[in-house]
Amino acid sequence: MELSSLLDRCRQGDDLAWEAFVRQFERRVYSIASGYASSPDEARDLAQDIFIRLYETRGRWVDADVFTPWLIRVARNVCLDQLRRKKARPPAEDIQADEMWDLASPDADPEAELQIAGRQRLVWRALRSLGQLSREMIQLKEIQGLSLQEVAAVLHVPVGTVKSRSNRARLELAEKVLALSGEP
Amino acid sequence: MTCEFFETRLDALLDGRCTAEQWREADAHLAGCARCRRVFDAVSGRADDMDAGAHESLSRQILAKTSGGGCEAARERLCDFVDGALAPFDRELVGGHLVHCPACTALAAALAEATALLPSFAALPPRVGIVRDVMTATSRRPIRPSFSDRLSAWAARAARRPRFSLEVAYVLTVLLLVVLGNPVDAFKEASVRVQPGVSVVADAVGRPLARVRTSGGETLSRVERALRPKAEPVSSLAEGKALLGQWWQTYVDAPVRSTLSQLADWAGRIVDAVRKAMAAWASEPGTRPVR
Repeated sequence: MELSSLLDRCRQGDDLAWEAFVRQFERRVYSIASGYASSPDEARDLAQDIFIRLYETRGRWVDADVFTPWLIRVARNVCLDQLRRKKARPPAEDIQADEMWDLASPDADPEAELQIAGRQRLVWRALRSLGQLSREMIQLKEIQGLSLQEVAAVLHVPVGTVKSRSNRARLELAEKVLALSGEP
Repeated sequence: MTCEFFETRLDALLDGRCTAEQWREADAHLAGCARCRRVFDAVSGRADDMDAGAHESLSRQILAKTSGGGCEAARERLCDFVDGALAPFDRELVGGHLVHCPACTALAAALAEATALLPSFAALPPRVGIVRDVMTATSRRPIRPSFSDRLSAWAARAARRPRFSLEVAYVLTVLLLVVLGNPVDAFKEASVRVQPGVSVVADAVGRPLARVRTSGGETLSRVERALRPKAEPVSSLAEGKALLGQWWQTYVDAPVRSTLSQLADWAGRIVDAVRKAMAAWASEPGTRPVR
């Protein structure tokens, strides 16, 4: 489905287009929310709040070619607003079994899927154990795929600062992965 | 060839600047001179009585006493190395360091793994779908109201609060104090000034109303008597019509006209009285304007 047509229909108030939009961006928005939440339930609530904010302001959506960075910026602002209101807890060092995040694997091979899921879960745990700033940097640049310039625009910092913070965050993540996997 | 002559030719031999004849002479001397042989092997790098581990240890000791090692510099370039964004020369430098540094090699491997897996987190499925909840929350939801709508909604919510009336009364009391000063004296003064005007208006309205009440009662009585059936029956149609006309004239038409003219007269008097009272009020000195 072409994004520009979908956005136009949503702006015009087409409820079917809105439903298609929600289904198309549900996972992405949930992923962004999970970067700021401390539990899957909180991420779910944040994702709903993000969509409600999008719905209320659908008359002011930007064009399709810059929509994704704009969406991420809006999502980030909603998450930060909500977290400020709820006075969010710091990120957990470890995740309890009943709060495991569902990490889907695209691989069809069961054995490979187990391995991928294992390493993927390890990286996820390492990501969750990072500080808020490092986690947000990785979320924006490495996970959501924003460019350096786009991240700089979202965070209101120079591009050079984004580059250095991103590298630092990635190294910190790699060290956490090593520590969690028991390697030296 | 003597040893001294060999030593003068040593640099040329190592740099490859000798002729074939000079090489043969030097080779012949080395075959017979152990001392020159040891010197030549040492400076040409062929003398190796250490294994790879010893060489590595020696290198680390040298680096520790000089730059402190290249790990920090390698970490700074590791992300670009993993991303393939380094210039060829820097790539060779980092690669060369990784060969001899297991810690940095493990870090690079973890970095590469994380970089490969992170994009898979871009779209996570929630445990319980949120589409239905979002649609329920947003279906037919109006577009975000304007500032004035939100202000009105806030005012409506504020008015529903239990303390709203108290707060309004408090604010109005303060305003009253600010405007009138001592409200008790101000109200007393005002009621004294207004009293004559009020009396005139009351008289102008009260007397005509009493007259209307009296004459209205009389008119009603006459109408009742006229509507009561007559004792003697009407003998002919003409007599009946005449009687009806007479009744109409006496008991309906005349009283209504009279009443209407009286009402007009009274209305005029009331208006005059109110005008006079207001003129009397406005002309008195020190009268405060009503706000």
